[in-house]
Amino acid sequence: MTGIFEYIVLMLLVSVIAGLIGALVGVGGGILVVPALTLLFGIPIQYAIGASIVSVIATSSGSAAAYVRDHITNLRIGMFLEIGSTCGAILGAVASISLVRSGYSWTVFLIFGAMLIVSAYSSAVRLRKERKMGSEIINQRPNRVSERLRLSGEYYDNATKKTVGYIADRVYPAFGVMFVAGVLSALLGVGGGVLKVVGLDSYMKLPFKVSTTTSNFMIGVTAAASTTIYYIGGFVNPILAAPVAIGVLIGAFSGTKVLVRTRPGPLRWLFVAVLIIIAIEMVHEGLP
Amino acid sequence: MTTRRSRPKPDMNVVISDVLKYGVLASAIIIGLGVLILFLNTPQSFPSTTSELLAMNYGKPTLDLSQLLSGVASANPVYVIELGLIVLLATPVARVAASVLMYAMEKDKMYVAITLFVLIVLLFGLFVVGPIEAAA
Repeated sequence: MTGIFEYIVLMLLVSVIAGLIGALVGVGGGILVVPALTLLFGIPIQYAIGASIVSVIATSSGSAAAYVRDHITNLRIGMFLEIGSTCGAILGAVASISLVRSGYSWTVFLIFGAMLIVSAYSSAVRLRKERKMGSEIINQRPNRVSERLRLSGEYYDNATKKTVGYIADRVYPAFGVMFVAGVLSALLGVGGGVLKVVGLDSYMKLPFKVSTTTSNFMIGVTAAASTTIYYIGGFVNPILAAPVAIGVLIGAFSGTKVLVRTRPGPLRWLFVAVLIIIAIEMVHEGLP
Repeated sequence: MTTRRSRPKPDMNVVISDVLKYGVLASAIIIGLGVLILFLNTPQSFPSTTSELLAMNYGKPTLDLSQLLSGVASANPVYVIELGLIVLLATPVARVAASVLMYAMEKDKMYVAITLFVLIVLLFGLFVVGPIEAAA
């Protein structure tokens, strides 16, 4: 039997790796923390979710700070959509706790596995998209809803050296996607960035850079809505949450530094494969 | 970027960015300190395995503020970590509260309403849903 201090050090190391891989693949660290804690350390899923969601607040708030300062993030679009994502998060936290308490924690494993498959697919799509740049669709046609809510903006594109204006398209469907993203984030203890980017990128047709940074900006507040419930409910154990939060934070920021200097294309394909393997393990764990 | 300086009103992006940056930084330092104390000065009743830790729900967050503060004052590592987690949790909430104030300063009624709604949802989770789950 390994002592608790060895466990804490191991959890710290695994969390650093999770944060690092997460940053390189372009998914949050949380997506790997919950599988690591449940599959490797045998921690009950509700405590794994509690520790993971804390680390999600840390990484998203930390990295959002830089993008907000640089005026890339669209604050108004983020704050408006947070109405949907925080309401969803409250529902998701209550649902997750209820499922675990009534003995249905296996369903959380299955939903987690499905979410990993979708994330792997979307990472793969993004890798192919990056290869043929300039193919992004940006909406510039005005519409009534975004005019009323002033959901528009402009950003300076470093690659083309031009200021690009944009207007949010299809606001209501995007709002619905954010609600679902909030539910999933809280239910599974992840950031839910993949789904949020779908809402901003595919429905609102914002520039990709604006989509990813605005999604990141919303993740912290969305995660806070469910974390308070997990915290007061007694599912955030400080001894587990501490090494995970610090580890993922260190990993994520080192990963971002590496990403600026290199384009680890083939390495990221490997990580997509890793996501699929973990998905299979999670589903296997959930099945009776 | 000298043009921005001539404006007397604070730039919302800078304020929000600072709230996030210093909130995360402060919490990471406090949590790190707590872990360090845990290793150097382990409490007597500290469990020896993770299953024991969870079975006795050791370090279950206290909701008693005076207990938390006296724990921090006596350098109890569990309470120090808890304080760090609370600072981390409060960071996004403070960010939303700051935006309510800044939109109010800009007399932007629609966005005061929007950000205020988000703040109320966060406080609803904290003061209504959380205690219900804790009691269950």
